[in-house]
Amino acid sequence: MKTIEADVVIVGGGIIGCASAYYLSQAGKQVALLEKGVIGGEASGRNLGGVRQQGRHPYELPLAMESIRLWQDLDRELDCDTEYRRWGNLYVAKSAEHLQWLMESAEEDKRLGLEVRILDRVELKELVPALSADFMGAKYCPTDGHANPINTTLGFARAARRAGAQLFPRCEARSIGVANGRVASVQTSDLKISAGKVVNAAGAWAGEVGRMVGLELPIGVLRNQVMVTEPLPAAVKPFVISAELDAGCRQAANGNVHVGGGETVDVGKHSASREVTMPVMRCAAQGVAMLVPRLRGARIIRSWGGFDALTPDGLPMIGAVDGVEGFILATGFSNHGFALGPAVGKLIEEMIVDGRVSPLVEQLTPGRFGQVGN
Amino acid sequence: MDDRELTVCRCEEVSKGEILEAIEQGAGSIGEVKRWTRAGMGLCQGKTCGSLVLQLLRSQSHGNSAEPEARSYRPPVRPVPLSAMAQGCDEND
Repeated sequence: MKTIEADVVIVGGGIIGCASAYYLSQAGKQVALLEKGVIGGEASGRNLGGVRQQGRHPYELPLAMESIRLWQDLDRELDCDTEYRRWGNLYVAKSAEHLQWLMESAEEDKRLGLEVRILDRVELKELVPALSADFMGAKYCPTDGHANPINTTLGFARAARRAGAQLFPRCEARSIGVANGRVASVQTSDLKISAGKVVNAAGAWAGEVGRMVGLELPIGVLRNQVMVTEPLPAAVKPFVISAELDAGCRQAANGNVHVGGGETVDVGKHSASREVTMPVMRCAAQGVAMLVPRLRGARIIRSWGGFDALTPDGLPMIGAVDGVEGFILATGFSNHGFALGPAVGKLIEEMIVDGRVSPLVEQLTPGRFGQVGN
Repeated sequence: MDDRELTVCRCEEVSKGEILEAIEQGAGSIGEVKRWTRAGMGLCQGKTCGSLVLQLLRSQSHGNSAEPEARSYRPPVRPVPLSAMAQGCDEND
């Protein structure tokens, strides 16, 4: 068995793992990243691509705001076209009750320092003429937007490699060596990497990686579904979400419209079928057809399903755990982690390099679930 | 004409050269070539270019005997309007 040394082993080649690898390598750390499949092959390549602050839990919002600050310069930083478009995010309302609820949530957003505004029917029509006239208003966050999740994840991976990180795709972590309560190494079928820090960024597979050090992490597995249309002339610039219809869409840079929604199911395990199901697709299609009537004739060319780790409170777990020194969690993003990737990567770097836990993740530490495992 | 300029994926206009470059940089499956270059992401979903990409992967396998992973099939088989999806039937209908 080949043995190599590193400062940090990252388990998981999604946006969280790749962003952590990038910032850690930039800071001079020797990083080895293990990915059982391909880079960006799971949730990071299967989500809708929203880069959003509004609609987040107050504990998560400051982290999202920090991430949007990093997003603005990401193409230059990574030398990559992430297709990031700062074209806003809309939560639209069909009913007066829902608009009232959005107005209340706008007050909360503003109190936390996020710039949002309520649009009436006329302003909404002006902003997105293609939107159905059935919607009486919306909450709009102009600094939100969207990006291409695959390009972004690959961009972080390539930038990490250029900065010196070693990336091992198709290389599954099999066991983690622990000595005197500290992580010491990670083994694959033919490789042993000695390291004093291990980052569990394994998404829906984080539970298995936790068990390698004797932890029982409080995470389930959710499955989401996305459909994509053929490329269409530009029709919708912001990312549009309707909570009432349980549907949302974004038009990507090359014109494809990504359609999502429908019940997000806790499937318990990621070994459950990856196949898409008709009721979920139907719900998303009905919702988006109502949101943007001109998309009714748009042809769907593909659909897919993806898995992500789901925590009991729907918020990520970021930080160290009691009892296993050097083991750091960055998982449990519960289907809304893509936009947070850059900030989480940066904070994991700070945690490891400076030993500093940023106030931005103080409310998101694994410790909020009590002692995890052992 | 340099044969690297040949178009392999017509829907997304991806050339043979771009696909070979991805393979040289480590893309080892249809799925990776697709994610890296967009080949197979277009209207035909790789029905036209999939076998050509597979051939290129095989030709560049550098003695690696493992067969490159084939492309994955996802619904719909042919493009269907969003409105048809909105009326979609249940699996057991």
